[in-house]
Amino acid sequence: MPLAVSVLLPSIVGFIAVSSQIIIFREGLTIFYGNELAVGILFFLWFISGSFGSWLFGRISNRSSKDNELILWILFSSLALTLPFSIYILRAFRGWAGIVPGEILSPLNIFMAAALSVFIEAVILGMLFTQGVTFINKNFKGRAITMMYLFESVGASAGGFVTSIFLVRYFNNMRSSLFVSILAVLAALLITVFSRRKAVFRVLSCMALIIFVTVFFTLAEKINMSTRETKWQGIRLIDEKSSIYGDITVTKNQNVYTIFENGVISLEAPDTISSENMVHFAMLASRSPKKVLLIGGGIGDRLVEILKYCPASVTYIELNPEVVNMAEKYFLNEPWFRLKDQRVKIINSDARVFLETTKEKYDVAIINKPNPYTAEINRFYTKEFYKGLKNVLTDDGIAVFAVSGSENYISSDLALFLKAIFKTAASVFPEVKAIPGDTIYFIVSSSDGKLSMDPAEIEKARLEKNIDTTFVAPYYLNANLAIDRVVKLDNLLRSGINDRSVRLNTDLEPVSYYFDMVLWGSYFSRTFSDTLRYLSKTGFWAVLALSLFVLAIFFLLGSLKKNGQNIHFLTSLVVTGFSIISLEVLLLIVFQIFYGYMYYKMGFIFAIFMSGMAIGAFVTDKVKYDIMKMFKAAQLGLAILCAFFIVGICGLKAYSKLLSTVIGEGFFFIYPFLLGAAGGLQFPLSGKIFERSGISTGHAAGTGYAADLFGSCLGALCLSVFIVPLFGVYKAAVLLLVMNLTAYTGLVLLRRKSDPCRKD
Amino acid sequence: MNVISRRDFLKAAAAGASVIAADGLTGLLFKNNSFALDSLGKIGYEHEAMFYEKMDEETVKCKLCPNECVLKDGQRSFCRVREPNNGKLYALNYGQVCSAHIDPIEKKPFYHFLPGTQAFSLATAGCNLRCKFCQNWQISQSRPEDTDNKYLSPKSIVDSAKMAGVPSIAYTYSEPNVFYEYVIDIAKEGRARDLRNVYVTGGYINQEPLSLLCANVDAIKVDFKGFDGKYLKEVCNEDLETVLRVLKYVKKSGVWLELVNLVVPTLNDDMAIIRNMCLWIYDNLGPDVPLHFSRFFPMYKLRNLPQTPLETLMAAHDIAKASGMNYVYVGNVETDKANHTFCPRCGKAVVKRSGYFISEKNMNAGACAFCGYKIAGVWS
Repeated sequence: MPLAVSVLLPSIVGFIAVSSQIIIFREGLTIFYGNELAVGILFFLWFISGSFGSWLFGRISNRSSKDNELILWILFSSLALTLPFSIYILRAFRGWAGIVPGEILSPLNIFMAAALSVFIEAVILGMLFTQGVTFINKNFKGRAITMMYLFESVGASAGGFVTSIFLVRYFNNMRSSLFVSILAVLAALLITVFSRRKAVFRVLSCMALIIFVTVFFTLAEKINMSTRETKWQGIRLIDEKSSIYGDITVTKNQNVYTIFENGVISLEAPDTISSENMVHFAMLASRSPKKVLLIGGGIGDRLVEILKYCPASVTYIELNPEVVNMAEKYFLNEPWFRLKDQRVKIINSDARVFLETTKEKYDVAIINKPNPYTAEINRFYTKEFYKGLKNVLTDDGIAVFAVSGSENYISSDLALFLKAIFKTAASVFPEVKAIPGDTIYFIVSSSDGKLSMDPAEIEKARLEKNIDTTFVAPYYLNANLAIDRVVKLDNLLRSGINDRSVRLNTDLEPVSYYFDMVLWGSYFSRTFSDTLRYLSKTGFWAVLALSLFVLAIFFLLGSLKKNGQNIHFLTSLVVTGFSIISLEVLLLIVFQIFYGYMYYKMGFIFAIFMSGMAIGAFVTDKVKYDIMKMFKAAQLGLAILCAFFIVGICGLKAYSKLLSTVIGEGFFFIYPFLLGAAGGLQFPLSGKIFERSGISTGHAAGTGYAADLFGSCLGALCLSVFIVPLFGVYKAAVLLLVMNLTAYTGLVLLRRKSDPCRKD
Repeated sequence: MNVISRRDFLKAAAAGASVIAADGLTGLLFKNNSFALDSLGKIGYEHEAMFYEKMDEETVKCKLCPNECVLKDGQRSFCRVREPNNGKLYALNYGQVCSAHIDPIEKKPFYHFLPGTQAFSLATAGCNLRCKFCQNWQISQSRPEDTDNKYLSPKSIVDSAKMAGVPSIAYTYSEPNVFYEYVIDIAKEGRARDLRNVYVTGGYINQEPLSLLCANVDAIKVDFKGFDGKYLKEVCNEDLETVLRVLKYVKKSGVWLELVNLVVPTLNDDMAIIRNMCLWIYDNLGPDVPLHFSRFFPMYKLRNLPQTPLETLMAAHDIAKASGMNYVYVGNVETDKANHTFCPRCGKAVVKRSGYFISEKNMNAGACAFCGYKIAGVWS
């Protein structure tokens, strides 16, 4: 087999792995309620399945090279089928599981759908890693694991780049998956070209190639349409567009349009009830609403209500330009469409960035954001956001935002969620009022004494300003703002202010998205939400102690067992897998907070991280040094990186002026490189260590890779779902620091005599 | 920061606006007034349930609703509020009020029963249905242990309603079938003191309890959720036959009946089915039963389903009118066009409404002020 093939195949494995992960996750999130738990479940299943696949093939890796080629051919060929099939499974799942149109999936449903769609794909990819190592062993004797890792990282980097920059922009998920399938068929074909096997496989691969390419160019759209109709279960679709920020879907029923972003309703139009509620309480409370800031929601009929006040200008901030494009395409002739009004200025930007950079002051700000169900959206409910908002409001400026409520009864889960939001807003704004109902509107004011919840006063303001309304009118307000309802909600929210157990939602301790998850859990099972709520009371020290205890047990086990040194290395690999994905997530969370949601830059950070890995692996291959020492050094390096993270973020937070300098930006580009390098360094070393302890190359690769992925799956699930919202970014990094120091200590304590590398 | 002043609040409370709240001033209100909290009520085996059959020493069969749960000691019913102990079935939620407000009766909605008045409205936890669009799922899909309750005896409730000066008590928000015993006790006490009782239900109840219920309440609003058995089963866990039986009985019993049909896009907005439903109502309940079509909003488990367009609701309205129904309403929408009551004979508006409130009334002693036609309903 030529060297080029041995380089190309691992790269294709990396490419397909990352591409299919991105594609499946994007499709998955449009079907799940895409909160951090859903993402966590997807990652968890992805890594654990991969871990299983590589472990399984590690156990059975001694085969003749002829068999190896055949197996590799089978794996690549099946990969071509599994990815489009995974997309189909996700789209058909609702129907299979008896979920009715518009119904959200339960955590159990999400788990099942994710498992069905992810398992086979990720298991095959895991197998491919192990099998790939065995396959390229001939060309890279003794360096196969390193080389596999190196080229896989290079491929992954390319896959991430191509998928997130091109595929998601120009293709829908079904078409993207077919694109990746073609790549898998090409890889299979490549094997047959240089194989000594019978031509029948070559012919099969050629046929597969012709079929997939034909389907890609002819039937892909048809398959996409019919499967997406299955997914939408009779809801009438107008258009669907894939964009870098996710999928946008427009549906229409009679004259009502609904815009879904990533499968979740983001806006309905016209929607007079919510537009009136969203707009008028704030606008009526303002003395003179001349300059209005509208964050999200500008494409519907919110503007109709805002323009009733004849403002001088309305600045509409929309992150995703595709949303505006879709609106202009479909709503242009609708009577409520006002985006073309001269007073409306559209700015495509992340609203956090806008608040930091604008010099303008606004009389009223209207914030249309969904509940904080992800870390990203949570940025619009934090203390720092409210501070930024207050800065752009005039001295007597008013702002409004809305979250889920309940008209007749507030459950303990909802209370937990609402109290944190209220307390956070009240920590910045001198006056905060809440309008009770199934949606709760929070009205905040920059100065005290501006807001009234008295229907008579609201009506007086309405008459003075001469505004025509249907729902913000006495005959509804007298009932909806009945004093018992208002007082009850107000008392409940205010009880959180002096309650130390009610926490503030901040950028670096984003607790609200956890409480939203608890609330979401209560839709399905009280036991589930109770468990999540109970977990929220866990102390940081308990988690720290638990992780130390678990690690200590494993190291102890390794020391006691004869030839148990591999347990030490595997445990270290698990810690490394856990830490690397965690630090990567932490870095992206912090980056979003400092610089806003910058899709391309975040993609770039991922690419740098992957190239760090490749270079780490390259260094392992080139530098001749004591393997054991390097392995330990990598662990210590990771610990130092945790500390560096804490110091770096503290510094940037304290001296935020540095953010726009080369120091700030440099940090976010050097850090992922170092992080990748530490991982890239350690993994191939572990392979060498295992090989020297007498295990076959394939087995060594399979076991090591499984441990690494297992760590990743734990990290992916625990970090963004629990650790970050409950303990914050700093404590999360401290936890990682301690884990890595423990792993390092475990390695140091490994007695010299049991060191498999002593012959070095 | 501004707090609603104590004076304002007490003023409102004195006017009867607030009867139950979680803490603070309302607690004070409870203490200072005659309807102080009873200390008796605990969630436990305190109040024996009605309508059950003892199967053996430790097994009972609840006969309240068609679910007919067979329960062993300590097992909880499907509705989450009933549990046997030593072979006796208990209503654990008796008196455990988790939500109580004074609402306009139009909000229930009742349009032909004491219009323009307010109703003392209350609920406990629990429900024998599983509607995926439930507005009050936080109560209905909970056990009484999971909600924040105040124990209020039937007498306290009646005292509160009297003090608030409202003419009726409404059993609403969750499904009152599951606090049946409590309803009957309050209703009896209320009637003795000149209060009417209005009952807002999904209509999933067995015949025997229904008969007793009809003998004690004055008006029933049934959420006639749909005319398609498959939909009712899948989305609400209810069966059509029961609902139809209940509707016919309520009408026959003489209790004032109004119907609400929630039009859920995609799931039950098929106009052919709506037409069949209207024809059934016309044939079996008569043209004078008010029929309200209400708008679905993304809610609870169906939070990813778009709201009902006004056009769909108006189409349903037109179908019902064409089927011969006299009083058809579409409330809580952008237009009040289908929110008024029109005289079936002269076609003039006898009651005009804006949102939940009456803006104009042209009736004399329950009859059209223009032509004298008797408008069905309970008007005083």
